[in-house]
Amino acid sequence: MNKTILRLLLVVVATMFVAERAMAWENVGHAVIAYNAERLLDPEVKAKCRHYLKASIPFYATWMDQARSIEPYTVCDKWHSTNIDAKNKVVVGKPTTGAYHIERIRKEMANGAYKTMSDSLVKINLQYLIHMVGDHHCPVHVRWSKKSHPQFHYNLLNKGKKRRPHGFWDGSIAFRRGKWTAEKHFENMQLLSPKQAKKMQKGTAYDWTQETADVWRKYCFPAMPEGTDISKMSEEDVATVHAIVDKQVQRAAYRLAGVLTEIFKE
Amino acid sequence: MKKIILAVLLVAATLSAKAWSTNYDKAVYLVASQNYTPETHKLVSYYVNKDHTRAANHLGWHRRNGRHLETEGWHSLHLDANLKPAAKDANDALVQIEKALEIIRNREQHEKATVSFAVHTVMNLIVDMHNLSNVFIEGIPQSGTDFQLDISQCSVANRPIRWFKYSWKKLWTYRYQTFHGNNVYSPQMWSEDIVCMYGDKKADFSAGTLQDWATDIGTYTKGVYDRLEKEEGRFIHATVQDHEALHMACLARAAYRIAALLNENLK
Repeated sequence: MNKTILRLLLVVVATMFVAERAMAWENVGHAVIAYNAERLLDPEVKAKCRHYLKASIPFYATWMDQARSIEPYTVCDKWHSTNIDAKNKVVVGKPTTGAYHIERIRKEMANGAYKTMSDSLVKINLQYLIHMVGDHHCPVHVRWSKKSHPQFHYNLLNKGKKRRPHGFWDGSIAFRRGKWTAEKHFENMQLLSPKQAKKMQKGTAYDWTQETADVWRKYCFPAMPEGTDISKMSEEDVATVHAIVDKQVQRAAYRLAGVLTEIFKE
Repeated sequence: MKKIILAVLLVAATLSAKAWSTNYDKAVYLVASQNYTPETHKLVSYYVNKDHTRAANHLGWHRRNGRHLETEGWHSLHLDANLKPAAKDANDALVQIEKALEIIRNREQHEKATVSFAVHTVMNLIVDMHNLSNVFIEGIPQSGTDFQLDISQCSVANRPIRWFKYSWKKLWTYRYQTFHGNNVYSPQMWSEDIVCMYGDKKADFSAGTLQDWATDIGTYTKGVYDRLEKEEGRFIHATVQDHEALHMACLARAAYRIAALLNENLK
């Protein structure tokens, strides 16, 4: 009898705290990247972003995940990731990939062209960029074909139960950092000199996606091979995951700040 | 076993008594404090704390410590079918705010602790009356109660809609916070969004009397229940998303109205 009541109560508590469906960097990761990017902006660019968004940059960090099943935004459902070919090279120019749309929007808004757009178009373009730049730094947001890369389609374990690597890496920013606020994540991010920042911000979304794919192949995959039990990771393993993911957060934040600066800086 | 059951029931009780999550409450107080006159700022610091966000869910905190148990029913707002205030007894936010304001205006005649409790009460209950799940409207039996509705899960495109049961109270208390990463999104961040979104509406939101505000809240609360009825007790994810602007507007209204009330009554 007592056990039955206990089970029932535990179910009640579990449903109180039911988690939102895991997507992309998950809500926490996107908020952190957008927050960090906003902190890196100069006041003029930050003010312009907030003027068009009518909110802060992090407020719209997860919007693309929330909107992807809602018309008219279902068109962006495939823009959260980009394909990698059989030779481990990023696929360029494919309209069903996110890198294509990051570059399209950058081009369309460049050199003051955003001024010829309606405010609502500028807003929606910003909402796309804020999310997609983050997504393309998430190691599992490069699409590996099962045919060319069967080794990347595997399972991890969590307390003995199968778990997809996608879910793990999506949530890796908050992994064992459940109580961190965005401010704490910003303090954790290594800041760069202007020269270093400029170097990091160079290139296109394709270059950044290629780099993310390489990070997956060279670091993430070896760090968490098939059968790794997440619940049994040592402190050293956790530190390795954090080192990988912190670097990706830094890249994403600086590059998002760079893209927004390139658009709005007079 | 008894301890576990008590702990679970305590968590459940805490959820049901709260208006918004603590982060939202604190964000409201941050925005309010940015709009205090220097005099109000000084007096709120004196009666509450230098950190004004300490007022968050103050009455609930007292009750959890076995004090002021009579405040349990103060968090709701009661309106008639014309959306005019219609409290039947003292268990009503508006009634208690008015009583507390009376004490604040005549603060010279009261002990500091009494005035302090009154200031906390105003801050706490203004927030509560702006959470539309706390608003009872005559003729809408579900209003002001907690009930289960069907909402659809955020999903990728072209997948069948998956429905799940969700608490009405939780929807207006926590749901939007989960979209933004829960506690990673700090009170400071929420406060900046409130100002970005509704800073230009400050004068509109602050205008009028407590009774006008109650009717104003009733109007948009009724709108939400009308939509729920039209959609047969279900909110698809898009509808939930649509309501986030309203939710943020509620936070903004609460913030600017706390500032207006305290500026006026702490003169």
